[in-house]
Amino acid sequence: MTAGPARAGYYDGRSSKRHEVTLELSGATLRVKGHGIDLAVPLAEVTLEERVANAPRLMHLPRGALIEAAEFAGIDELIARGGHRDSLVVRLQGSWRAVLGSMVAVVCVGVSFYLWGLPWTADRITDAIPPAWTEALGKEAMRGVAAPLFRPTGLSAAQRSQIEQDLAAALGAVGAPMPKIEYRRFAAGPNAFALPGDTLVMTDEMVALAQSTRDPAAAMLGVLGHEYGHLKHRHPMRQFVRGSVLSILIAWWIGDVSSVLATAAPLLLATRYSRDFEREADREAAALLKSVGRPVEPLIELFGKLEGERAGKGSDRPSRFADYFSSHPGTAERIRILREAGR
Amino acid sequence: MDQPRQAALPLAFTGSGSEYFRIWIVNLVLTILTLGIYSAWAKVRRLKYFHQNTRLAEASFNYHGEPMAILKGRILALALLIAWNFAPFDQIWGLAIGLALAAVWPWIVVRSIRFRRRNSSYRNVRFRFDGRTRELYLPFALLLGVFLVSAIVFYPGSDPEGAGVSGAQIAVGIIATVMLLLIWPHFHFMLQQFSAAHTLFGETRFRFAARAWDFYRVYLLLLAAFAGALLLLAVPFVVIRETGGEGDMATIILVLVTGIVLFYGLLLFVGPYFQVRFQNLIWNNLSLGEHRFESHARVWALFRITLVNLILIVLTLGFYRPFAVIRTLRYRIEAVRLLPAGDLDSFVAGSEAAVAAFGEEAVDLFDFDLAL
Repeated sequence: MTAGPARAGYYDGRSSKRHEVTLELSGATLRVKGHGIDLAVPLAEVTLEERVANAPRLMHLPRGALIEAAEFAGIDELIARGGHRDSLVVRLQGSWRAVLGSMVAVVCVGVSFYLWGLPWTADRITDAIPPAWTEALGKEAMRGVAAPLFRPTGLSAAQRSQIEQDLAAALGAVGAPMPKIEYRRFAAGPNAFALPGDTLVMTDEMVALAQSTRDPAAAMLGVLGHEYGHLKHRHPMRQFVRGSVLSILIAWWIGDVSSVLATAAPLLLATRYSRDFEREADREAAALLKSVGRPVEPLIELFGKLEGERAGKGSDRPSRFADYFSSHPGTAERIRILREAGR
Repeated sequence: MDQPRQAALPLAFTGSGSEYFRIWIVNLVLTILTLGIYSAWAKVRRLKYFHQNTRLAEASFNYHGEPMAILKGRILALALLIAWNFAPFDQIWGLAIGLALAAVWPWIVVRSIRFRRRNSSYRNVRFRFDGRTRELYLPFALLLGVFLVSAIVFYPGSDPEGAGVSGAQIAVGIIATVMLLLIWPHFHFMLQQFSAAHTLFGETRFRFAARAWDFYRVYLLLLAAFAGALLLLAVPFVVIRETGGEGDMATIILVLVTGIVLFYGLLLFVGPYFQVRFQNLIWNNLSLGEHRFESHARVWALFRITLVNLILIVLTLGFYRPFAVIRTLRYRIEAVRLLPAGDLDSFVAGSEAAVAAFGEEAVDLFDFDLAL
């Protein structure tokens, strides 16, 4: 069997000088010939480096010499005779079928981790977080509930104690602890939310909207029950941890191309987890109302008004666009959940 | 000048997106299947691809890192990371692990550079590194000290009752922060010089002629860009405050979004700016024996590449990334040229024992890259 001759570069390993040589394969011997060089190396002593796509092939000879060959028909012969088979990984890299299969596998693993693996892992992490951390995070979140968007409440002490009495009575009936309530005026309209730990924030605007329903006390209890549901299931902390894990994974996946993308993508993807939590909180709200014999209809009426309020503000476009990445499920679905759970 | 006239030799990069994509996806799947263990082999295959496709004067570079050495390094680094993550649970433990990390950090940095140099070769001659850890202790201690003072004063948790920070505390904090800003460019310069001037190709040493002021100049412009960006970001908040927060929601959102888009636009520009300016600064001041280097990368060109990469990465949900890496690498590598003072044949190989990979892996995991 013969192959070659082919041109190649020879480096003796002692200096950086490139020697132009020709390679020839005859029998079980590699002949390397050049100016002042004439080697006959048994194939068994030639170590062929793994193929790196279309980069020149590298062959290590005894005593640290190296051959760099851009093209050499004898390579295949060398592979066949010297037992230098391309490794499995190299063969996978060269096969479009394997590459397509890998792409499908990566997508499947990614999607299932997003749907099930990440929530599960993040919740185990949340379980391991000491209460002191949660508390510190809650305090940090309270700092965010400040000017310019947030202002001190305009509710009277009597209004506030009425709200708290109603909630305490309902929670007492189901044997649940009473959360702390912070009241604020909020420039962005009616809202209420739960913070990591045991604090929930109620806005004057939300209280006013509840007042406009047919049964303000029940509507108010529904809203508070919803937020209490978030606290009971540690939703703020779980959402925080899930978001953090998502951020790390996304940053790893997209690399360091853009901080915008690394920030925005996890936020959008985390809305899925948030919608699940909203559904759970709605069920808690319905259960709490049911336990004190109150109807869910006032809360449903409130959701309707809330939607009207948001659609009415500004132009329709931004709110419709926001629906695609909304942190909450659609109002129709929420009403269905309340009806089912309140039955 | 008695040097013979020689044509500049450009670095060439022959990697292609479709080739690298296949290497990348196979690496990814095997890493997932082996729960991360394969990542060490993946790293070697990736770096071999980059090195072997970088060519200068008809010859390619090569990478020789041993996957097992890298794996051991990654396991040790992971252990350190876990130990560090338990730090907040217990003050004594936190302090102990913090001090231990601070003490070994210069050593980790030196090991990291040494592993990378020792495992790179060109024309069958290895690069080497002979920097010593003790040279780094004083600069690292100084930087860490200043950083701790500024961090402790301004860390939100240091004021749990919201009682307000005293005037003296604020003064100390501001002085420390200003000192940090003043020291950092010099520290960066020192590290770069340390890493370059202790590098050898065979027996021939690299020299680094940049001065500290060159680094300050790059940072000053960067600082100006950041100040501008912060001002832009402040505008929407001032607008909201002026309207008393009573303004129409759509306007507030519009103003906020505009501010954030402007800010991120600038951030997007800062990355390429930083990469290009330091790449040019470093290579234009680097020499190897009598040979010199030249880098003429342009911020605007790299910004355009970065922007296109970003758009395509979004559109392909991340699968364009290997192509993006290749495009960026090609631009950055092909901007560099060697200005030879003679032929490249007379470098003599040196000898040095193999080094463990731990340093490099620790640096990778703790996200502290000393890009050269």
